[in-house]
Amino acid sequence: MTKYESAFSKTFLIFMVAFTILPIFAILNISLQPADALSTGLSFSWDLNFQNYVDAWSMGNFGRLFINSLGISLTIIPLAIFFAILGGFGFYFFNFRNKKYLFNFFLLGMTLPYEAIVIPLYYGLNSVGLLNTSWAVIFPLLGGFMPFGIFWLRSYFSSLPNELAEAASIDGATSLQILMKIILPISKSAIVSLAIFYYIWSWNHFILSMILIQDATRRTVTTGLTAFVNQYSQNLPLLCAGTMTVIAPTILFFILFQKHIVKGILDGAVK
Amino acid sequence: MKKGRNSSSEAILFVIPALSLYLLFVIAPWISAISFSFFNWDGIGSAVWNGFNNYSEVFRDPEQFNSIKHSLVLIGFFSVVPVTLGLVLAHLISNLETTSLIGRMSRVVIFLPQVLPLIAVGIAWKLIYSSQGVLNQFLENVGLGASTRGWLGDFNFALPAIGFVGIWLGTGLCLLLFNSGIQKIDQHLYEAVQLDGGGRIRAFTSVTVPSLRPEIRFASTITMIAALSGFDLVYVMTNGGPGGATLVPGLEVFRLAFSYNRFGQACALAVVLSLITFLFILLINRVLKDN
Repeated sequence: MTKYESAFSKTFLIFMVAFTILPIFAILNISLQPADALSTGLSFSWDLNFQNYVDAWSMGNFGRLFINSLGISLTIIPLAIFFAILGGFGFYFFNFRNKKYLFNFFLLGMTLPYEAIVIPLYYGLNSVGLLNTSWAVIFPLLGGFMPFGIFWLRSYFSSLPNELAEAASIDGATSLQILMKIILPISKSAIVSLAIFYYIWSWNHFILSMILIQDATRRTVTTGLTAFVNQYSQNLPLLCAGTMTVIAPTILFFILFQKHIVKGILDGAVK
Repeated sequence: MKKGRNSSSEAILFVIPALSLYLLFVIAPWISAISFSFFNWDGIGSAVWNGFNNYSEVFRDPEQFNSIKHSLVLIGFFSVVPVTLGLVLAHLISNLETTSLIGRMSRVVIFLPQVLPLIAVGIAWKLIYSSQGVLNQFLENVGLGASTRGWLGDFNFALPAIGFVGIWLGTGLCLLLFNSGIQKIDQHLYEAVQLDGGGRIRAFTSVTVPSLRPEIRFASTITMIAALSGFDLVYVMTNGGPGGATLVPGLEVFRLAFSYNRFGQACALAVVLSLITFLFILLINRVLKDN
């Protein structure tokens, strides 16, 4: 590799980084301007103003929204992981009739847009009294998360050396013992990656919560943010502070787990 | 030795919890959407059988048909451009060690859009495109003040402006996917091209692209799903406007149902949307099948 080529690659990557960061930087910048500032992005002053964050937090009722969204994510993640482990192991470990068809039937779910099922969900959940509760989002997301979880874990289990499970099988271990004692302990990284995906998807989810939870006190962060932005569309610094408040935990989470996330997506690509 | 146990009854126990959730909350509503789609129903009164009329209406009603056309345009922006651009760029920077500091740092930053809520992404870009926004400020500073406008309010530019956000979302992801794929390609293949007297373009078409088949398949699949379910971005950036210029099927389903109270019609469009998505994904996976 020539020096010239390497310099080109580096310059180019720096450009890509700047291009990616720009919108987030613009929001952060505006959010720190005084409430009556007209500047919208490019100009920057060190006269930072954090009052917008204090105002946004109370005016947008973000504390409530965070609790609601956290409640939904923390209910979904363990349940979805548990059911996906069982399902993924079922498809990996057993041979049964029509297994291939059943697996493809699950894969079909990855292509179904939530927009296509939200209207029947609205009526169905209404008739059982779950509309406007967190369960209205939890149940459909649990169902919607199964295809990817099963697909993801089955591919991971299949990539493990076969001998371990075979040896235990010959020793008379039950399938549950094989799952708990042999497969799970060496699958931690795949399960952590899956949990991270489930957190990001459930936290960021919008359309189901917008239609199925219209009660303002039970809203999630994304629907609450949309309402907040519509309400204060004239006050850009406040609006941007609200937006930063919602994405800050995700960015922090991303920085903490970036190795898992980046590796998870890159690994998932070739399976 | 044959892998796995032959025990259908035991297998069912493992699969049934996931299967029931999936059946109850994804498949059943979808089947119910299919059956709604054959009726006229305002959400309150009784439903009236309407045969396939809702489906022909999807293609006759300009608002609905345009929403489908817009989503095809968005596939270009969200999927075709990022995958193509990502391939070319990954090839150009394939010589860069991914372990270098810049390589590692850029990896992390370029992934960031994948974890942000699309609602927040839409809010950020809406501000960038606004009449006093970053884009217009930039244009004025470089002497292109004449081309400034409120981008999302412009009938011709609103859809491409949303599409550009798709390029922003997808290109980095594709670049990194392909870059990590290229590192695994056997260097002898490139040497063979060189021995044959082929240049970088030959290396690209006869080695890089064919070797990255699985990565291209994956990248096309997820970017296309993102393109066809563009609800979040469009809802927060333009809500379909100006004058329906950015309506997409997901948003139109929502409008038909909750603004016009045409639930049967909304379901017909929803079914068409899911069929389009399914067909595109099937097509990609057929065309880019492993040899």
